[in-house]
Amino acid sequence: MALLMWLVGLFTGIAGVKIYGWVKEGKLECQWYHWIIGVLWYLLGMFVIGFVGVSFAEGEPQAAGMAILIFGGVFLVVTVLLYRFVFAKQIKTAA
Amino acid sequence: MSIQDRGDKMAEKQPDKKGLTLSRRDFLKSTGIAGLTAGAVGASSFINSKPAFAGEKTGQPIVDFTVKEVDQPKYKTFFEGSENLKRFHQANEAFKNKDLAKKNFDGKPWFVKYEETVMQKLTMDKPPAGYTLIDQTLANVSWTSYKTTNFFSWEPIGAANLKRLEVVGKWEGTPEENNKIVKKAAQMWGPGETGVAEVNEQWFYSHEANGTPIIFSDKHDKPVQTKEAWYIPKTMKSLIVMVIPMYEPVRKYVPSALAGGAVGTGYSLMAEKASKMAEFLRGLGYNAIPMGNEIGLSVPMAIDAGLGELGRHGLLVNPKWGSWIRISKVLTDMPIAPDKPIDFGVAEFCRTCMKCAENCPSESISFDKDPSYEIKCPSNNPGMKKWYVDTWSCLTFWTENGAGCTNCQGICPYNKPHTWIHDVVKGISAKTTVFNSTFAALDDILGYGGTVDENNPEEWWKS
Ligand code: SF4
Ligand code: SF4
Repeated sequence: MALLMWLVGLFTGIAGVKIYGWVKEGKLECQWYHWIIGVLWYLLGMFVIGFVGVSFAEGEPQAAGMAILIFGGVFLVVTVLLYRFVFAKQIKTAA
Repeated sequence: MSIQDRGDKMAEKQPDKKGLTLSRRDFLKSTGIAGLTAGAVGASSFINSKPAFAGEKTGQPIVDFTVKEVDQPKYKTFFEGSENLKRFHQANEAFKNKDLAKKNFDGKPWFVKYEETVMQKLTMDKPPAGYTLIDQTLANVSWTSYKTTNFFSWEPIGAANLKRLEVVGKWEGTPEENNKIVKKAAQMWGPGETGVAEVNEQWFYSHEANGTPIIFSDKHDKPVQTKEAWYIPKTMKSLIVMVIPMYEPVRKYVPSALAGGAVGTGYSLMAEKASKMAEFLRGLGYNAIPMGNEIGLSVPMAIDAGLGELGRHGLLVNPKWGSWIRISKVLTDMPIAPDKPIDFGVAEFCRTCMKCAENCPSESISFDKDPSYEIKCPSNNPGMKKWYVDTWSCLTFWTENGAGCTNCQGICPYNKPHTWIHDVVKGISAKTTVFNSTFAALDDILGYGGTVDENNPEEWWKS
């Protein structure tokens, strides 16, 4: 579990620094609601990873599976929204 | 210029084709910060996935807003009428009740019928998993310390050196110090929780199972058991209650004999802990009576001692260990500051969670949303508004099962280990009832709990 959290921390750090860089360099323009969706997306992702990791560690694989199905599904929807309304536009603009 | 610096310069000169790319320099910078973040997150133990039973250090809730101390126990504030309950005659409980024996066990003690079923299953071509000879034997021998020792003696058993007291006199701690001391001592004897209550005579049997009266006496200064009566000095006002968690890995195999091994082990630990506590108190110069299930009702005593709440299944639910527990008690005249009863929303949660009732093979547990005064069998003590349990149909199922059943204890959602998931849920349901039905539904959807119907006991032997 500690390794999982370490990896989550690692990727959070990479993503945070990168997004900060993009915003500073003007490569990524974010409205206030983009930030809200982004933060929600991040928290949801953390929740899903945490839930699944803990459930496996607890010896509850069914809970882990159902969490992937239910909470992971919600996470996927928010990911699509985020990509569609924030990143896709930015990528197009940059190109 | 170092190779890395040159590389970085070149990377900076590269045209940024896609706009949102990650240069090596950025990557290195990011990973540096990320490493720090990761370290911080990892070190913060944000997620504690170790089950509580794994060891002492994992016992603390992560989200510590679950439990609040209250002035009145929940059996007075949520339930009603506890003051109407008379002291109970132990011969009236299902295990000893002659009318039940006549009605369902051909007039014989319940365990005769029980043993017949055990043998019936053992002599099948292939005994069912969890009911084989190794399961049944393991279950039997797990009771060793409870059934074959004098751990519940009212007299000193020789473990403490009482001669020292003649020289140094008895231990004279303040009630607050004594509260801490007995809890620390109990910690050494295995996992669990300890609380202290003032004696409430109402929770002691009026008579023990063979009909001997249990009398609180101001004429005795030592506890005495005679043929005529058992005398408890009125000066014995402190009641130490110990909650003992049962062996967790076989919980999912209830109601098999294999899961019964956890029950027997729990009882043996009860005997050992109560006996050690009693000897400890005697060694400090005080009287002590160690108690298992005889002498008094464990559940209300534990509630008074701040160790949990009464659940729909009529048993204790402890905030740390849930319902997969046993309870032992020690009565003493050592002055000990009592603990306060607690509230963490169990009774309210039970209104919507019916898991114990749904998983009761004999339908002995009420499905009524709210508690009522209606008793369910002649072994119930009438007069209180609560969820009465039909202990007659319960015990009858045990005899048909060929193993004690603990489905209601094993299935309870409060049994879960301390992880952030369960602590958050427990914390929220302690504060508001709004999400209780969602939590109860999620418990089913996510597949928590389970019995021998879903889990094969052979897996435990092979693991
Ligand atoms: S022990 Fe089994 S039969 Fe008895 S009340 Fe609990 S679930 Fe029902
Ligand atoms: S299983 Fe549910 S209803 Fe039964 S005691 Fe536990 S929380 Fe209450």
